[in-house]
Order: sequence, then structure tokens, then C-alpha cells
Amino acid sequence: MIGPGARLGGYELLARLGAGGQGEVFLARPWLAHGAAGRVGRWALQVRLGAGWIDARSAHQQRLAALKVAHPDAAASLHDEHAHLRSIGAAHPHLACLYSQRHPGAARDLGLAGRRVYLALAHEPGTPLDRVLARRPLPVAWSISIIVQLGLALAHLHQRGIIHHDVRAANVVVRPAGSCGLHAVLIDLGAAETPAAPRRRAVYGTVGHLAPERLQDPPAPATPLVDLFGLGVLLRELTAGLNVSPALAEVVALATEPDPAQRAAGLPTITALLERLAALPEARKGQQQPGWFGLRCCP
Amino acid sequence: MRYHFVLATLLVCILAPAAAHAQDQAPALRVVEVRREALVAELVCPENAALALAATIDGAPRDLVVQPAAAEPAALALVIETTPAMGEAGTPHSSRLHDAVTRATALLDRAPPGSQVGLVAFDRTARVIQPLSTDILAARRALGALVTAPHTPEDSSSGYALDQGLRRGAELLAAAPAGPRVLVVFAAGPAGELDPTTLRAPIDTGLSLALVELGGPAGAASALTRAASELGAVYLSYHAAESAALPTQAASVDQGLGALLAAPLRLQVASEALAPGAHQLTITGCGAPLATSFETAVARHSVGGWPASLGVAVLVIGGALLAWRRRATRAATGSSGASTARYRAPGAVTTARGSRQGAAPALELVVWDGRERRVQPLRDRQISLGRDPGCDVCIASEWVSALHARISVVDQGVEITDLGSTNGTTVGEPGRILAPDLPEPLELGEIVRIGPEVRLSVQAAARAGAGAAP
Repeated sequence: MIGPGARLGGYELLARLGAGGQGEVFLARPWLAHGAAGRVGRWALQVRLGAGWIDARSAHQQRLAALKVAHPDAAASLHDEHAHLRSIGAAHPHLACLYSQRHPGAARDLGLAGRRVYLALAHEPGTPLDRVLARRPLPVAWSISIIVQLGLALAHLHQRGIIHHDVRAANVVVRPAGSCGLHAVLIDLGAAETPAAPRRRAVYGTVGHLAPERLQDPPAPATPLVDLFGLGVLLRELTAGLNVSPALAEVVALATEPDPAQRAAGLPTITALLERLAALPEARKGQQQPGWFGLRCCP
Repeated sequence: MRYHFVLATLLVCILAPAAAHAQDQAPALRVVEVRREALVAELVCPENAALALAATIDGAPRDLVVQPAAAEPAALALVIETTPAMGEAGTPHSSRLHDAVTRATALLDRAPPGSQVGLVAFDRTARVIQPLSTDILAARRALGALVTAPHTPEDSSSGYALDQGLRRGAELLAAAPAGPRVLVVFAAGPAGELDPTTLRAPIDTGLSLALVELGGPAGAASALTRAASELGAVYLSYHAAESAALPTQAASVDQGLGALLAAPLRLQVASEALAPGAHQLTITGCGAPLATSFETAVARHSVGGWPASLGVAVLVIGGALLAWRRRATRAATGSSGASTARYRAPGAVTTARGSRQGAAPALELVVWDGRERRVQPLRDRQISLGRDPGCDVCIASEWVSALHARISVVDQGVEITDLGSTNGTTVGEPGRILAPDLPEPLELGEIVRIGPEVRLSVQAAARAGAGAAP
């Protein structure tokens, strides 16, 4: 029933971006009374999406949205995500935002399609980081830059009392930024939690990325250290199999410390992690390191 | 282009007789509209309570959305026989006339609010006891008066003026406003035969007709069964020799009469991926399975023509460009076959471990939608409120937006968030008007108002089902 070409609330679905246990994600744009021209435009966007020719600027010009359509029994997660994103207020450059926060007045963020709830987010063009990693390892300097960007986004969330709770490569979208480096955006607040007013009565997350204290029975309360652990695991994945300096290996070991008390002793906050990363020899050496296509990495 | 026109003409020729057929028969299940992704059907179900309906198309189960039937005010004409035959024994400890009045009263109780009722009595001649009016109470009083003060004709000459009664009833209904028009006859039947030709003339086709025979042995062919089939009326028999059989008899008559008043439920059945041609829709859950057949049109864009060709061309060129770009990228990075080996994401499984962090408070939501009070337990941590049937709490009021608000169970408390509704949401006394999309804590028992009539509140779940009304 729901598929490309269909109309959902104020949106026209263009293509399916992905599907998971909780629902599906579609690329969409505001619904206008398009005739044949609109259909051709839709095909053009579908071809550009398939070829990877949609960049941040065209996504903004075309006012593209990423529509998450929940399975009927997973609607609560979307309502949570909507509440969390709405409470953040100002959009962060490295964090997904609601559609109305980037394109005010175009269409409603939350709606119903039959019995299924949908949530409209601003489309973040790019490739999921896990798919990038599946092809080839990234230069270490790029990996550190990605972790720093994600760390800024997480610090932004933590300031507002929100724990992301599901930091992993599949929840990060990267795209080329300027002539070198990658711009990373943290997406999917579907597993997020507010420790001050907990909503969930079960633990959501991904095995291997979720901090061990959350997998105990009974689980320890969610703290910013959970995201620190997830970021540490992501850094370990990004630099796996590469020759890294002992200082970077130590940062990874501190961030992925299983015992939360020892983790807090080594790196009390995300900001502390960011400071340690900035002091690494790889971060300073990054200027001399060649990236893809022989491009040089900017500082 | 010309093929499209010919095809459309053919389609109209095929579908038009089918539609006309469906209208004059008015079956319990009717397909109203066939769209590409869903079809809309109307179902008349006597038990209008919460139904567990299921739909299958050609035997394959399909998603089904049921929209609640809006009870439309009806116009009712009750035509009641008052000949001496009606004074005879009917069901145990009751006369036939008394039976007729009981069943007629039960029908009035089921009539939707705002309905109009008119009464006609007939024996040798027919007379209007009460013209069409919305005063149901007066109609009930007039029905009671039929039993307590029976009409006695001046002379005892026999005659059976069913035709006159029908005509009087039809005249009453002719003045009724738009809406369902129902004519119900309660009769014991004439001593001799009825001339069916006299019955046919006065009845216009827009009426729903029912004929209830009192005292006749069920199943036997009487003058009234023949009259009912001649008129195209629903025939019901109300007779029971023993008291034990009485409740089922009464229920079946009430159900048969209630079905005339019931507004059809609108069903939306998912019908994607159906081959063009004839299909059968089956609905189960409303008595015996109901089936109807329908035809799916040949989708225009699947016929071909230049738009599809252009689409295919664009896709082929796009695919070729994509392949070329991939190869160029691979050549530029100089990656060999060994380094493109698939990378496995470690443990990409999202889990929800069932370990409960403290029991949630047992809460329930009390909704007053202007007509009825409903109590619903707050089981999920997010409850959507709105007019759309897809909402967790569906409130059928014009003041409520399709997706109006949500109630979140947060920690040990409750929050309400207005989701940008048209008419807004007010909490407490004096009202705090909610800002769109921003949650507001809601105390237990605090009253939330939407428009002038809808009220809701959250309260601790009552043990014995007794709670304070909002």
C-alpha cells in the first residue's frame, strides 16, 4: 500500500531508503499537484539517488524528507523520537533534525498512514558509515574527525538530558565535505532515553555496541557513559586492522572499558574524549596524510 | 492514446451494469470503490458492536480498516394491525397486539438519535395515530394506548386494509427528510387470501420494508409471506410456543429490524498486487461469511505507452551511468578483488530486553466524546488521540483533528502533547492552552478539554470499574 509514488499526509514518497524491524524509511518531498512534470522529476530524483548524486545542497533545494513509517506496534518509538528531537530545539549540524526545523511551514512532522505512524525528518544525504566501512578502511585522521563530529552531537544531546543509546556505524550518515574529509551526521533517536524521566521499561540497543552495564539484570540506569562506550566501540571499528599510535589505542581502551566506574575515571565525559582525541599524533599528522583519490586532508 | 480511450469505454460498459445491479439489490456487503491500493466496501452488520472482522480476497487474507458507522437519523413508519385477530394469544402470556407493541418499542429504542417516527393502525380501514415526528416518547405512549384502549370499529364487518395501511405509511415517509426510510408492518394476517396486486402500487422504491407476522407458525407459507415476497420486504415471524424459545425469537426479530436502521460500516481493504479481472472479497466475523465479487480495472500506467517507455529509458541510462561510475571509482582507488571482500557489521541486531525497570503505574484514560463515556487502560507508553481510526484512542468529534495529541507515560507520571491540532487542547482549570509539540505534565484527574464537548482525564485504574466521571 505504501510505496514510491504514494502520498502520505503532505508528502510524496520517492523511494525506499531502507527497512528494519521497527518500520521502513522513505525518501519523500512535499506533495504538490504535479502532473507529468512531477512524475519526470520523481524519476530524475530516483535515478540521482541510485547513482549517489544527491548532495546536501540539492537535498535542501528539493526540500527532501526522510519519512520513517513505523510498524503498527512500534509507533511508540517514533513518538519518543519526535518528542526528543522537538525538545532539542535548535538543530545541530551533526544531528538529524525534524523536517519542520529545516523547512518550516511545509508539512507536519508527525502523521498517520492508516494504522501506521510516520515521522518526517530532514533528509541527510550520504552513505551509512557501516556501508562505507564494508568497502574499505578510512584514513585514521578521517576516522578521528568523524568521532569528533559525533562527539559534538552527543555532547549537545547530553546537555539536554538525552542519551542516544544506540551509537553505531549504521546510525551515522557520512558525505563528502568540501574537497576533503567527511561530514558525519548522527541519526535515529529511536532508542534514545532521558534519565531524568525514563520512558522505556525495557532496554533497547545493539548487542556489541551497548555498554555492558545496560545488559546486566537488572540494568544500571542510562548515563552519558553509555554513549561514550558506543563511541569507543565505533572508534575501534573504524581503526580496526590499521597501524595506530599507542595513545589512540589507549583512548579506545579507556572508552570501551566494561566497568562504568573505571570508564568514568579515565574519561568522565564526551568532552574529555574529544580533548584526548585532539591531542593525538594522528590528528595532527592528518594534514600530511593522503586521503582517497590522492586528496590531502585539510586540518 | 486511442487504446486508452477504447479501454476506458469497455471498462465503463463492463462495470456500469454491475454497479446498477448492486444498487437495486442492496446486499449486506457491497464494493463501493476499487482503487489501485485499496478497495472500499460497505457492510451492513446487525451486531454493530465491536466486531472482529477479517477480509480475504480470493482466499488470501488482507489488511482491513473499519471506519465506524455514523448513525444517521432515520424515518420510521410503524403500521400495526388492530383487527380482533390481534387480540388472540401470541407468545406465552401475551396477546399478538401486545407482542407487536413490545417489538415496536424495542425498535424505537434502537433508532438513532434524531429519528422520526410515525404510527399507522389498520383493521377494516387505516388511520394515522401519530404523524411523523421526532417525539419518540409520544410514539411510545401512542403504542401503549393501542393495548390499553383498543380501537373498536362501529360495525363488525370484516375487511383487511393492509394496502391502505401501507399507503398511509408511505405517505408519512414521503415527507421525511433525507436519510434511511423504514416501513415496518406488524400483522397477524387476514382470514382469507390477500390480493397481492393491490399491495404493489403505493410503495415507492426508496423504502426499506419489513413485515413481522405475529402468531403464525414460523416457516409456514401464509398470505403474509407471499405478500412480503411480492413487496420485496424482509419477512420476520414472531411466535414462540414456549417461554424458553422467546428470548431467541425476540432477539432475531430485533436484529432483523435493527439491520434496516444500521448504517453500513465502511471497510477499507488492502488490494495491492491484484491481477486485473474478477476477484472475490470475503468478510468473516459478521455472522456467516459474506462474499461479493468485484473487478479490478487495468491500471493505466501499466498498459504502456510513452510514459513507461521513457521511464525504462531513463532507468537504463541511469543504471549504465551508475555502473560506469562505480567502475571508474574502483579504478581510481586501485582496489583489487581482495580488498573489496564484504565487511560484516558486528552484531547488527537491535534488541529489546524484557527486563522491567520498575512496574508502571496502572492508569486508565476516561474519554467523554459528547455522547458516551469510555474508559481505556493506558497500556502503551505512548497513546495517540485523534479522529483518525488509526489512532490508539479514536474520538469521533468534529473538534478533534485527525492526529490531535498524544499522552505519554513518563517515569511515574503522565504528559500530554498537542500535535499541532486545529482547535487546540486545554488542560486544567483555568485552562492552560498547550503549545504545539511541547509536552505538558498532566496530573491524575486533571481535565483535558478539546472543543466544547470532548473531555478526557487520566486516573488511577479503578479496582471495581467505578471511577469519577470527568
